[in-house]
Amino acid sequence: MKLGVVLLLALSVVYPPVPAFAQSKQSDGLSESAANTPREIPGNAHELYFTRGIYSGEFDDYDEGGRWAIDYPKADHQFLVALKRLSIVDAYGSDNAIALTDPILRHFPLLYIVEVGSMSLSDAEVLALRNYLLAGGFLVIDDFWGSWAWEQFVSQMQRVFPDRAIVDLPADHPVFHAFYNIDSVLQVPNVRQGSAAQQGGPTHEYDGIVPHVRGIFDDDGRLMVLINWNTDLGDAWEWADDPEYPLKFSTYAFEIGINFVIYAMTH
Amino acid sequence: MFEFLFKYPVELFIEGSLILALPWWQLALLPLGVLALAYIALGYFNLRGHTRVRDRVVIALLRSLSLALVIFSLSRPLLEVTSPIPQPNVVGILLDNSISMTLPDFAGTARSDLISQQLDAETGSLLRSLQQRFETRLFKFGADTRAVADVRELDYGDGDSNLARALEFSRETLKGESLAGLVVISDGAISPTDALDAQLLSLRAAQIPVYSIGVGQPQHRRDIEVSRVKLPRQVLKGSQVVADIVVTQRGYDGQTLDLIVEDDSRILRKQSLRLEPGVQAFKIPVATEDAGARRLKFYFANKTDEQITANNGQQEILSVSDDKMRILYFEGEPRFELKFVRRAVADDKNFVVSGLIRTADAKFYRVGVESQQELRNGFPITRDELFSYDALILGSVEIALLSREQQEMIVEFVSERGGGLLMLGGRHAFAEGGYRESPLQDILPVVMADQAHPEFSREIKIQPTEAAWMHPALALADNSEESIARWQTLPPLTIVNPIHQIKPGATLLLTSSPTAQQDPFVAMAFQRYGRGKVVAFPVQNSWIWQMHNDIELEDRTHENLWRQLLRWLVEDVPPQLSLALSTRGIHSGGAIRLRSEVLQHLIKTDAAPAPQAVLTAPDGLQQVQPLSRHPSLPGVYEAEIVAAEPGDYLLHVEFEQHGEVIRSDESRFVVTREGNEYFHSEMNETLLRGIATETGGGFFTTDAVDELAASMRTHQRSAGALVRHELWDMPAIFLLLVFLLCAEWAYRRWRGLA
Repeated sequence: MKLGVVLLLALSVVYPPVPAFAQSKQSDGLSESAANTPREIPGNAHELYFTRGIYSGEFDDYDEGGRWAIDYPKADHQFLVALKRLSIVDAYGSDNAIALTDPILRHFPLLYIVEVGSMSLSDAEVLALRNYLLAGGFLVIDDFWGSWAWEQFVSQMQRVFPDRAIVDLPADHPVFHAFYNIDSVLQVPNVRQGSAAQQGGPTHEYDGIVPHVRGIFDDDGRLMVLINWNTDLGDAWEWADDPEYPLKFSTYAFEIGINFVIYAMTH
Repeated sequence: MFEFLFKYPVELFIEGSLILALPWWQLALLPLGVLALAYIALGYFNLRGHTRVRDRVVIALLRSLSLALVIFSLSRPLLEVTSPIPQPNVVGILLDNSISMTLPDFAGTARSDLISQQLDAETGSLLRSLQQRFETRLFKFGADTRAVADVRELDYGDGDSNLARALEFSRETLKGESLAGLVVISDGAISPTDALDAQLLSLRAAQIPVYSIGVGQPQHRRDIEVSRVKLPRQVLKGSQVVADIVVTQRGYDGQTLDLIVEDDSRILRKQSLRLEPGVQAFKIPVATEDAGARRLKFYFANKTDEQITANNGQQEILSVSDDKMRILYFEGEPRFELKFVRRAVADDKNFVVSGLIRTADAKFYRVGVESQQELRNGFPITRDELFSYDALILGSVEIALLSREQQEMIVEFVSERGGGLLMLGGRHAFAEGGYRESPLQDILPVVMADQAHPEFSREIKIQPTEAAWMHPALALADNSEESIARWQTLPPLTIVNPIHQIKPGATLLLTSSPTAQQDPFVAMAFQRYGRGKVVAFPVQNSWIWQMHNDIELEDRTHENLWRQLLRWLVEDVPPQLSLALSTRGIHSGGAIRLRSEVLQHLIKTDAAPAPQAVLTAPDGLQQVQPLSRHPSLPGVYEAEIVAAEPGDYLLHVEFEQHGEVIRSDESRFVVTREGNEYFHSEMNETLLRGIATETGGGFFTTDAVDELAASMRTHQRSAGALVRHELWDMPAIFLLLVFLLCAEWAYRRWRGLA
């Protein structure tokens, strides 16, 4: 509870500006071609740039540029406020959306991708993502629900890694203890269902009743891809400042998000 | 006139002293003579008649004087003087009895043939010519020196030529004789030593010249020699070591030959080397695959037209450790550098990298620890805990995160423990982290900026210096050309600590490409500090060399660099109990000094016993070698051992505390019959001429050996002998006796007496 209160206060005071090189769905409706335009490298002035992956999706034409930008950029901004407030990670305070095929992506070893249930990668994106992960990049997947989204995601990941299994992470995996000790995986609902859950409504979407944290490992047993299925951390970050959104979900989302970052920077 | 009367000049009587060399039996007659004199005197006094008393006194006096003069002459009067008497001059001839004298480069025959020909007791012309003017004494010298009667006693089997000991021994033996000089016949394959210098000074002071005859050719006609092989004493299994090889060759200019590196008959490497005139140095990378004491042999295949093939290779023992070296990586904030360093060395089984990362103001996260207790309380606060690591990496750690005691402990970790320290760049490192005012400032190899530049950030292209091309930590290929080319392709990195200068004595390994606007940045430098090593690597994101889009997935540059860097950082970290031998190329019968050192923090009590050393000989026999405590260096124990037989020896040392062995170490060494005799075997004219010049003697080649005897000076050395001159036959005694007898006769005539 203390963490949530602190964050709410922090979020009400600090709201970082959008950087020059950041691409915002809200501002210009970024297209794939625009995302692939070479940009200036930020110069590594900060240790961490919380980077959101821009990818091709099935509903891009109907969704103002792409499902990759769900909750963007406010979720990213608010998560960074929490990260900087609660840890000493030298994080850039704003969003950083990069296309998977942009060579500059390799300067950012942590990548966050959402709504992968609609992901429909081009061959170039498949290759870029595979190389990014094998080179040492770390991918966090979030906010996709139910069997059909899972099937779509798996079909795309099998193009990236045809032979790699996706496995549930055990509760004693270091990712659950890198900063906070998280004993059980909590289902984090979207903002609408989060409010409804206060009146006893369900927290899940579609048939995604049980939340999972799963992973894909490399040949040396290193975790490359961390998959949050049937949960929506991004919404909890985005709506953490909404009094209607339950504090326990946003608190949990910040905790496990920070764990992901610390883990990605140390393992 | 004086000399006519007394036989000898007056000066002799002034210098000398008069003695009576009366035999003992004559001494017994002396009382009889006195009695005879008394009887004569009484006889004259008792004469009756007309003689007066005065007459009797005069006659008795004259007769007594005559008789006394006769007695004086009979008692063998001598004049004893100390007189210089010339003695025969002696020449000591020192003959080199070492194995190198058997080399067949002297007029097509062995060098030793000169000794056989010139110094044979019956036919040797040099010996004869010397003996015409001097008495000669022969000595043979090798590891030891002995007097010999004949050159046939030489066997040329010594694995060493200890000329200093030979000079000392011959001087001592010839002490008291009139030493005109010493003649050294040798090829000069002798290492100049302080002892030799001292002997030469002593000879010069005593005015004893040394004449040297150089045997052998000053330069071989055709020969390839692996003159030196230098390897680290110990490496980690799987490391690539860079061997420093010195090759000397004559007669093969411009040829390309294969240098072969063998590990117990298994070829590890074959590298083509182009030979240039004279002496060349090469760096040969060698991979180590098997743990244990490896006997590595570096050699060229024998050439059919070569004069000496025994010097075509050298072997060295390399201790390849399969131990796990413990490295503590301390980060003051979460950084991707730690992730990628751990990832780079993750498959290296010889490292354990324990990470301690501050994640919040008072929150630390541990990764890679070996036990739940390790680093549980944060950065070590005791020496025992810190010193249990072999190396320490400091990331972006502001100095305030370490207490003053911890800072001083880190200095001791390097200077006394001998640990490796690597400081990485970062926004809280170097001057930007406040290190300028800390004790660690003294041990860093770089000169930090006067003030912190917290906003500074610059992307730089890394350039290796010449020292890095084939450096074991930074070589990116098997040869320097490829290594440099690979460095040129690496993407730029970011530097947030502007450092432009290294300290005197430090070595610059990596720098930035120079620009017209700014001096190059220091990207990596190191220096030794006390027993340890300190490396500054003030870049903050070497992980770019792993992640960058231009780096192929198969590229192992980042992994190799970090693996090499960390191995280099820890490989020469002394074990907490170490064992070192004084020499390499040991010959049978030679003395070897061994030194064992126990790190001070292990010694808990003053009464701790010395380490126990056991020598295992080639035949398997084991012998305990007592070690004695060094008089002034705490924790250091020494002994001298003699390996009599050629072969492989194993020396094992253990340190016990409270009846339990807490540390052990071992070393191997190879003893050969010939030692280093076939190396540096060209006739060393410089040394031999220097010996002659230093002592006032002369140097001769084998062609001019006939001139030796004539050129040697005869020294008018003489002994202070006592000389006795006979006085009984002095004319003065005879004349005085005649005078006394005549005087008595005349007196009697004048007084009319009978």
